[in-house]
Amino acid sequence: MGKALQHMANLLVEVGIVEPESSANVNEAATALIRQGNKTAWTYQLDLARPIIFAPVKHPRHGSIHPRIAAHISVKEGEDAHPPFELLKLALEITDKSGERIQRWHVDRANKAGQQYQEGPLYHLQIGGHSRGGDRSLEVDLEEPRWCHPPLDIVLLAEVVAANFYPKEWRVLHAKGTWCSLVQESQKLCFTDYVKRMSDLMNVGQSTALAEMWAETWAASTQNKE
Amino acid sequence: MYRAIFIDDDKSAKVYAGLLDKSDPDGLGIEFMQPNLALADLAAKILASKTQLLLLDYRLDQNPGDNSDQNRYKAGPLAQQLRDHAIDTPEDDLPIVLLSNEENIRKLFVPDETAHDLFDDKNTKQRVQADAGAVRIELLALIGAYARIKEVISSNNRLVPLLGLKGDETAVVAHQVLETVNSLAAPHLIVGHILRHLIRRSGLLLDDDGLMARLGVAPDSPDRGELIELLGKRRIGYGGILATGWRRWWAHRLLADLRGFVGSSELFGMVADKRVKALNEAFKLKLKPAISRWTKKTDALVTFACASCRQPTEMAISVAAYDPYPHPFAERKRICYTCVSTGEYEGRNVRVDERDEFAREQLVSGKLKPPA
Repeated sequence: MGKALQHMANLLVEVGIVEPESSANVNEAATALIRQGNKTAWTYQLDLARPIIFAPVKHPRHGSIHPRIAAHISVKEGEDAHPPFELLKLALEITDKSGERIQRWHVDRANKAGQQYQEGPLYHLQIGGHSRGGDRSLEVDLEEPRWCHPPLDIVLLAEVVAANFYPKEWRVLHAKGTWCSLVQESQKLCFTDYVKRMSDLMNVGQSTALAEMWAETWAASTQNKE
Repeated sequence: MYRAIFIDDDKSAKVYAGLLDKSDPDGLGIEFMQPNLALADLAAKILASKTQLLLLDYRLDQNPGDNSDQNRYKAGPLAQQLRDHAIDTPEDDLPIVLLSNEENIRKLFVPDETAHDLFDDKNTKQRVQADAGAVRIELLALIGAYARIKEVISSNNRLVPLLGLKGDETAVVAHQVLETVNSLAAPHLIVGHILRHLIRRSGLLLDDDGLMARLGVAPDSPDRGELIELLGKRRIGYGGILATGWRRWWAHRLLADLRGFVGSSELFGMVADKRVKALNEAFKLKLKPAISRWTKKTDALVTFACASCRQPTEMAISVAAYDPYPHPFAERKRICYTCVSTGEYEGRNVRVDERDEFAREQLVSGKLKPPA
């Protein structure tokens, strides 16, 4: 995975949608991964202080917008029905040219306080998130709903940003076989178990798909299987 | 005591040899010489002396003494002669450091890029006058580095032992440009390579300014000395060649060690005041958080030292600086918005990269201003 991260950064810089500064940030995370060896449990982290920095995009109101993505992911691959994430925190922050936040999204695995999961789907997409220094005035008033969403890793989130903000360059990336290989590996990691569960729930008896994807329910069903 | 020769055609420059000379077992004895010989003869004399370090003034041709037709050469050709010899005879290689006045270095040496690789380092005479002790420490580090390299130069696995790394830490330096060290022919090539691509590049290693920025600590913070001492005890420091002259910190050790010690994997993603609060609790110190020069607040996501003012700075409120060696593992130099908007960076040997020209114009014209 470490070499995959380095290659992802190289490709994104090569097509001109990611600032070269990002290479050193990704290299730090990638080297930590490489040092963990070829294990089934691994973790990597790119803080928002040293994120993947995308190139500025022109915007009619803000002049330019600046997407950045950060991630903290811990994986433990196994046989259970979960996507194999012990921890999943992905953030997409979009700032203006002065560094002020315009928008922030995050894809998370539900938090757990003690034995209790927060209300929401186990894997979800949510707007907002804590702003710098705890200045609540910069945060959105309402962060719900938590949308039921498959887990993503940093490669898949990078593809979302590339496709939405740099569609021309995204098509260049797609012409490169290695980009698609990277994305396919991440899709397997993130989507396999999620899609299977969703598919199994299409004809669920007395419940709904969303209820079965809810953090408490999903976690309990996995424990029952174990 | 280590031995060095300082060559200057101006007899009055002997005073600098006196300032750098320190007679104790680990000190540096400096012999002063004037270049009153033909170039090849002087090079042979230096090699025959078995000196461990050579200091050269840039202009050796202004007072040529006897036989003045033959004795008109600058430091570059003399250094080249010695470097050519070292390629065939690495055991005779020695550190060569330029010691000249500030104007000669700025106007004559800096533009002469072909001569740069011949010297391990350059120092102004003004710096020797101001702080001979600091210069001496760097000179002794160079002598130590050459000696250590000569011990391992017959091996084709030199990089890792020279950097003092062990076990899985070898992955940290597994980059082609660094691994070139394993095949370079002479100590001066290895020293130059490590200085240029590792020690003087923030990224894998951090200097003290970079360290403070990563920790979110104000450079003038109280307890800074105590923090440095505690980090040293935690074995975060770089201990390879040249470490005694240029203090550096391994970034990978810093991240792994302090995330564990403080008990927060999010430590380096916190804003400066929260980062420092966590450090103060863990280390029982009274560190002060870094203040963003742009926002004047302590809630910045500072993470590197501005290439101009060296203050802790955020990625988001800085522009790229021109970088001739953009390695994937090295932190790209960046200049804070404040230095660009005030023009402070000009004259500090740093330029805004062309890809951020638009941002530079916006800052200089005042269209991009600090928050009110």
